[in-house]
Amino acid sequence: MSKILLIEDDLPLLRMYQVAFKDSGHEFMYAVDGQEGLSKIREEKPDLILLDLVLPKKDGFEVLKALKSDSLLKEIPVICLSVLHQDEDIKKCKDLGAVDYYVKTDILPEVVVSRVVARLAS
Amino acid sequence: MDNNSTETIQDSRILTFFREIASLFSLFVIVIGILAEFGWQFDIDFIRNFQPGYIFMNPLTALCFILIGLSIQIILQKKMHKFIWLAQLAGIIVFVVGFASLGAIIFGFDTHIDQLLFGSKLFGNRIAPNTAFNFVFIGISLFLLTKDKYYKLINILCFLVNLISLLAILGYVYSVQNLYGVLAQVPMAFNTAIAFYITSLAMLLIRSDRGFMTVISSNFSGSKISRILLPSILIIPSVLGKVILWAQDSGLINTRFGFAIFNVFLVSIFFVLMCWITIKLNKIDLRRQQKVTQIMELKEEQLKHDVELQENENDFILVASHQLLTPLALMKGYTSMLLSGKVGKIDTEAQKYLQETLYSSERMSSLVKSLLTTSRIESENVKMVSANFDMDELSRSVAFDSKQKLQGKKLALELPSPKKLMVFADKEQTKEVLINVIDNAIKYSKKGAIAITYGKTDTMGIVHIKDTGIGINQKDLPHIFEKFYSSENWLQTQSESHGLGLYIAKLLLTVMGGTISAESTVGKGSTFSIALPLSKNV
Repeated sequence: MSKILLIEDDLPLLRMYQVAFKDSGHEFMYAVDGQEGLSKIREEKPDLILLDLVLPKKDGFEVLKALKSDSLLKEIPVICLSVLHQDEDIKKCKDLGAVDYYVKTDILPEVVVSRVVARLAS
Repeated sequence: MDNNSTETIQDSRILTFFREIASLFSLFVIVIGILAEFGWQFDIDFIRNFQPGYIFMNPLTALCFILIGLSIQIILQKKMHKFIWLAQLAGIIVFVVGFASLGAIIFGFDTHIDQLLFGSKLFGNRIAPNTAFNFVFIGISLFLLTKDKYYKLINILCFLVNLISLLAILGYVYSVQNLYGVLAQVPMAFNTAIAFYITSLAMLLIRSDRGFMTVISSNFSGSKISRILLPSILIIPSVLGKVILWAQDSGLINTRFGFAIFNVFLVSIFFVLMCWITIKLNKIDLRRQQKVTQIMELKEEQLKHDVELQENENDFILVASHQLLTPLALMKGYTSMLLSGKVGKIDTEAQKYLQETLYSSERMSSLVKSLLTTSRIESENVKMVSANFDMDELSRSVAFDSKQKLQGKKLALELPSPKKLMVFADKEQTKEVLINVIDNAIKYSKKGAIAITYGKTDTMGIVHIKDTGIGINQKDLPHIFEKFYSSENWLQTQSESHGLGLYIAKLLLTVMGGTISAESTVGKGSTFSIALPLSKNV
């Protein structure tokens, strides 16, 4: 069983993903802002991070930067999950080291779950 | 002196004022001439020489002055413009008189031209050599006065006349005969010297729009100073000198004391003048500075406001679209989860409704994204990275990506045989445009095929996307690239278009230097043509 951390500030959406991941067979954790997200990552050392980009306190880009400059954490795969859909944003995240980028409105929750599960299995 | 920089800032009011003074001066000259003629006619002395014992003005000289004065009047009066040739003729006459008189005195060939008028009364009165020189100069100037390109020559000649006559006047004022009688022969008459002085000033003022006279006629602060200082320098020392001289001659003061007094007065007068000018200029400077500061502040505020407004607007749309998309993601997510049946069994009727809900949220999210894109392009917030790429390869890959949609509607895809079409544009944005147009073609076609072909002009590479869809009404055709435009034809059959796709395509292409156009026949289909600049080095 792996640990999945979702950093997401929109609570209804957070609950939705919580529901979607309930039967995934993995431990699901969350944080509601960038700062909490970073400290959760340091405490829990999750196996995969789902990262929203527009976040209070510290936005997703900053969290990604902080992770990738920390030698202990930089190996954790990060998937960006945001409503930002411009090519610019997507390219920026990939450049910063995100392994994938899902646009929330274009991907169904079950697809997110199945892809995450597949990634963790490999 | 730099003429170009001063020419442009001529103050028309100053020039008009100068021309008025010139007009007044020319009237003076006419009066002096007429008085002299009267003096000769009726033997009245003081109007011939202005001062008992001085030499008389030659009657021909007096006639020349009358001609000169009248000519200046002709030149200055707008109504008299068709008589300019009269002024030029007068210039020739004056020149001839001067030249002939010079001949008599210098070359030893006496034409006796100055004996033409009142010959019997003259008793050896001649036209002086300096007077003759002045007439030659004035004659030339008068002939050329209306011709713009000779302003330099006119300025120089008039300045010489001014100096010669000033010397003569000062000679009379200080009783130094060398100054008004050159070549030890006949001296220039006192009233002649005054008339020349005034004439040269008038002619310099008329041509003050060009050459060195711009020093006093421009609108710069420096010219303001010289407009005050120049008359003062011309008048004050001479008048003061004469007063001191008179005081010395009448035994009131001795020479050394006179010089001291002269100095003291001169220094005091110019000191006061300088203070006055300084105060005046400082005031002008202060006002100018205040104005500049005011304008700068105003501009800065405006700029700040503009930038803020623009930023706010951009931020607003960014935030608004983010806020709109988040709940949509939720709606889509839950609906799809319900539809999957994992939460509980759903009957077919409910499934249909949920499908519609899912479909609508998809439409809405695509609309919001298009709005954001539109706003970003319109506010020039889209980064374009243009490079050379193969349009054939790109349209091929976009077409293949829509295979699923094509198969869903049982539409065929017709592609030309591979052939490089290198264009210079932003590849990602071009891809957006192609997706948009091809999706459109699929959306409005029920059967048949989507065909892609290429074309080329001298500068543009073109991709034609032909469908066998419902077509577009001729009256709608010019408007389909407008924001939120939906043709009746489309409204009847489709409701999923949000009216921004083609608008965005056109915006993007325009930014990249390309164009988009459409041809269509209702019921047969449409052809959209996307043109982009050909790559430069292929």
